[in-house]
This record gives sequence, C-alpha cells and structure tokens, in this order.
Amino acid sequence: MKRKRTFSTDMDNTDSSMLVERKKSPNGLELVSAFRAGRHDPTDLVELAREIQLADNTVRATACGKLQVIAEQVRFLQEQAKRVLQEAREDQSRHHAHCNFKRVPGHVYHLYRRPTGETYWSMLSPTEWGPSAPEQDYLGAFRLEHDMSWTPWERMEQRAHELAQLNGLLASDAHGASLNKALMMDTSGP
Amino acid sequence: MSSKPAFKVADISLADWGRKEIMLAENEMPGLMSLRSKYKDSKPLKGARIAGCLHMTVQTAVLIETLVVLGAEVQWSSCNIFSTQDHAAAAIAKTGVPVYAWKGETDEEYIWCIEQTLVFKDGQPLNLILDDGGDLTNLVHEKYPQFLSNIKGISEETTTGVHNLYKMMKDGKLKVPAINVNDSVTKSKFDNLYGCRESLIDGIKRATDVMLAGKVCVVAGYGDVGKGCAQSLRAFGGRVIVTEIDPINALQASMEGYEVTTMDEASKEGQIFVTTTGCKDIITGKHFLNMRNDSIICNIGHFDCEIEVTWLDKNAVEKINIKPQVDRYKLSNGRHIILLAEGRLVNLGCAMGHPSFVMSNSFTNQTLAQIELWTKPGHYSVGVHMLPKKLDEEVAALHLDHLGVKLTKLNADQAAYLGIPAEGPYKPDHYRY
Repeated sequence: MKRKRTFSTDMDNTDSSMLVERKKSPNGLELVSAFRAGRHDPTDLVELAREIQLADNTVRATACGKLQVIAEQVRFLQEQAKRVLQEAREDQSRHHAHCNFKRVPGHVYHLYRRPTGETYWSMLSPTEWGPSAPEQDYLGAFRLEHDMSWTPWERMEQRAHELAQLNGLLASDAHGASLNKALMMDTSGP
Repeated sequence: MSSKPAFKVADISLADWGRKEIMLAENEMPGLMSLRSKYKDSKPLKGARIAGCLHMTVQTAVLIETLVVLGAEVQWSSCNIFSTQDHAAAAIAKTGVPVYAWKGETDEEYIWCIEQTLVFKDGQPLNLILDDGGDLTNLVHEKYPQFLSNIKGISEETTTGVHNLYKMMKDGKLKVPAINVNDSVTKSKFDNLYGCRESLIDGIKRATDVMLAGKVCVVAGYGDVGKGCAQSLRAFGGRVIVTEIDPINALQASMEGYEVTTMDEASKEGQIFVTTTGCKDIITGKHFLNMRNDSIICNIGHFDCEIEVTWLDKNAVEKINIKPQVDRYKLSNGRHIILLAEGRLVNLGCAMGHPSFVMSNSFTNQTLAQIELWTKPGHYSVGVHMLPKKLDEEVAALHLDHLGVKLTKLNADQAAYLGIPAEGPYKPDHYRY
C-alpha cells in the first residue's frame, strides 16, 4: 500500500494530465484490479514528461521564430509608412513653394531659397543663371512626375529606369503572365 | 553668357498647337505678310541682329518670322512676366529662333531672359533693338554700354517706352537713334481706338455675361481709347455717359451725343464703369458708395491706379472671388461692386488683348522702323524720331486689300490743285486724322 501511495505521488509529481484518464469500469465492466491492469514502468512517465517538455520548447521556439519574421515585417512596414509620409510631406512643401509658371509633369525645375526665406521654383539651373543669378540658395533640381510627386535629381535616373521597365511590362504583357519573372529581374537592377 | 541655352520656353511640346494659331494669325496680319512677299528676295535686313523684347504672343510670332524672312537674325524675350503665350514661344523656338520667354517669370528671370538676347551665335552682339516698354533699351544702356556703339537704332512700341526714350534724351543718356512707333497714326489711332473698341466688350462679356443693352455705361476719358469704348457700348444699346477734363474732348463727346458730366454725378447713375484716362484716382471710395448694387467696374486705360482698388480692399465688408479676374465686394451700405481684372487692363485680364489685325498695323510699323534704321545708317541722329508720313501711309495701304477696300487714285491735275504729290504723303505731319 505504501508503495502504491508513493507511485501515485510520483504520478502527481510528473503530471496528472500526462496520461489518459483511468476508468474503474470501462464500458460498464468493472475491472478486477485497476491497479494491475494499469501498472507500468515509472521511468516511462519521466521519459514522456521530458518529451513533452522538449515539444513545448520546440513549439515556443518555432512560434518565436515566426513571430520574429512578422515583427520584422511590421518594422519594415512601419519604416515604409514613415518614408511615404515623409515623402508626401516633402512633395507637399515643394508644391507650396512659390511659383509663377504652370508646371508640366515630366519637366525638371529648380528650387531656390531667397534671403527672405521664400522658396520658389525657377526654370533656370544655377549654370543657366550664370553671373546674372540673384542672391539665393540652391535647394536642388526636381522632376515633376505625373502623380504630382517630385523626384530629386540624384534619383531621377533610377526612377526613370524603374518606370521604363514597368512601362515595358505594361506594353509587352497585358495579362501579367511574365510579371513575376520581370519583377524578379528587376530586383537585380541598379 | 558663353554657354547660354539655345532657347528657354515652358514646354516645347506645345509647338504644333502654336504653329496652327500662327497660321490663323498670318491670315489676319496682311501688313506683315505683304512685307514678306515684297522683301523676301531683296532681304533688306540681311546682317541685322535684332534683339526683341515684346509680349511673346502668337501675333509677335508672325512679326518675328517676318523679320527673319527679311534677312535678320532675331533673338527674343517677352516684355511682361505674365504675357507670354507658351505655345507661341514653343513654335518660335522650334524654328531655331533663340527665344527666352515663358508665362510666369520672376523679375530676375525676366532680366535674365532679356540678357540672353544680347549676344548672338559666334559671340556677335546685337545691332538693332526692338523694344516694348523700354526695359531692353535701359538694360543695354546701363549694364552693357559696350554694345551701344554697334547698335544702329531702337524702335519702341508703346507710350511707356517712348516716355522713357524722351526722358533719356533729356538727361543726355540716350546713345542711339530711336524711332517712336507708338505715335504712328496707324499704330495708336488704330490699336487704341479699334483694338479697345472690340476687346473692352470681349472682356466685360467673358467676365460677367452682362447684357449691355439699356444699361447706363460710364466711360471716364474721351481720348482714342475712350472713343472706342463709348462707341461699342452704345452700339450694344447702352446709354453712355462720358467724363472728361479736357474741354476739346468733352465737346467732342457731347457733339457725338453723349452726356458729359463728372464722376461724382455719373457714379449715382451708372451700372457699368470703364476708366480710359491714363490718369490716377478716377473712381475712388466716395464714388463706390454712390453706385447702384452690382455695378461693374473695369479699367482699360494705362496702369492699375485709375480705380482705387486699395480703398475697396480696405473698406469693403466682404470680398468674394467669383472666378479668376472677377471679384464682388460688399460695401458698408449693403450694396455690391463687381471689379474686373483687379483694376488692371480688362482686355488683357479678361479677354485676349488686341486681335491680330490691329496688331498687324503696329508690327508693320515696327518692321518698317527696323528697315529704316538698318538700311539708312546716319539718316537718323541720336534722338527720338517718328516714322515718315509716307511709311505710315504705306502701313495702311498694306491692310486695304484684306478688307476689300478700293482706293481712289489722285490724278496729276488734282494733285497739282491740292499741291501734294499724287503718290503721297497726302497730309502734313501735324494733321490729326
């Protein structure tokens, strides 16, 4: 009896939920000795407990790994969102710089700041201004895109390349069959 | 200036559209077109390097191409930062004429544009000036005096520029002969009278669509512009009241059948007000307060100082912008005033300025002035000259066919009776037309 008690304590210690619940009268037939019919090597249970522990750890590690990927993606999306907002703010402020002429998409214009703090658009680059340039700071050359965004001079070539590729795609493949292929090619671009 | 761009316009892709409008304008500019056919072989302007500074419009494009056909090299800028028609500039740039003009320049860009026209290819400086307003003339005199010795002359298009020339002459600053094109009879008497006669109504109609018939219209000033305005308002069925300071013009107006009174009186009666005086403070605060509800006010005179717009901006209870160039003010007395083009020239602000045909008169004068200055070096001294009467008559003659005019010839007997040459000039210089 003493041994039995010890065993059951062992079982409790291991984990009572580890094994399938016992029944004294399965399907209405009372067992002669439930103990006898259910006796087993106590080390089996230790092994089982270890396996469960391992499985727990593995699942947790896998979940963490997966969550990490999502977290990274969220961080990336956050960064992207921030960049989009930043670009929108910049485009907006560029649109609000003073301008006397009608700006035409596809054309390059030059942004200057006057000593008064006024920013304004000019048709003329610093080279074209030459010695006739008034006192002003050059803020850069920008091309107005058809979506009313401004592409800075240093990114013009890259953007032109991207647009040319995408336009090529639109022209060559209306159904998008080779879209994946082309986009993969694009990732190896400049 | 050594590495200047070949041209600078807003959008070169507008060239085809510009070309179509130039073709339309050519048909309405018979003076310039007949100079082309007359001089296309002899090329009297060969060797001339003309720097031009005049509104870069479709009509000016016809002038530029005429000068080129006559053998000149031409470089162009506009004489107003907002007046360039970008499609006309593009069409001219496409032909290879260096043009530096776009609608909406800054003041510094404006000067830059003019400066680009001074030196021609191979580093050769200009030798003729065609100016409108005097900015090119002043720039060369003040900043580039080294070019002056090479310049054969200036032809000046407008009153402001002519005033500037006379002032320079008086101050001893003018260094080249100048021809006052503005005061040719076929310029001012046509441009001011017949040009405004059509473009005033055009401006009022485009801005307000108001019915003129039966309205009381007040025309301030009865000079050439005022005469044209009064006549067209009356032709639409308006009852016209004139205000004048000059007894001669006042008598003229009265004998044409117009009521002549002061603005103090007329402001109580009028519904449409037009200032044509060239003077300042013609319609002021007290006049606005006299006016009937929704009176329409506009200026076709000179600057924007004829109507006291500052009073309106300061004292009106409310200002609502109806559409570009049309503002409706609510006054303290509850009545409204409709102001066109912010008190600036209504035919430019609300309509398309002068039609091609009347500009052909002005520009034929310009072309003849350029030929005179280029082909007769030494003939014109440093100073301000008028085109000879004979050339003024020639300008008019060149426009007759297009209108189907049959001119009567003076025979030798009649010429002898009048004591004038049968081929003209028919009038003395002081004749007023």
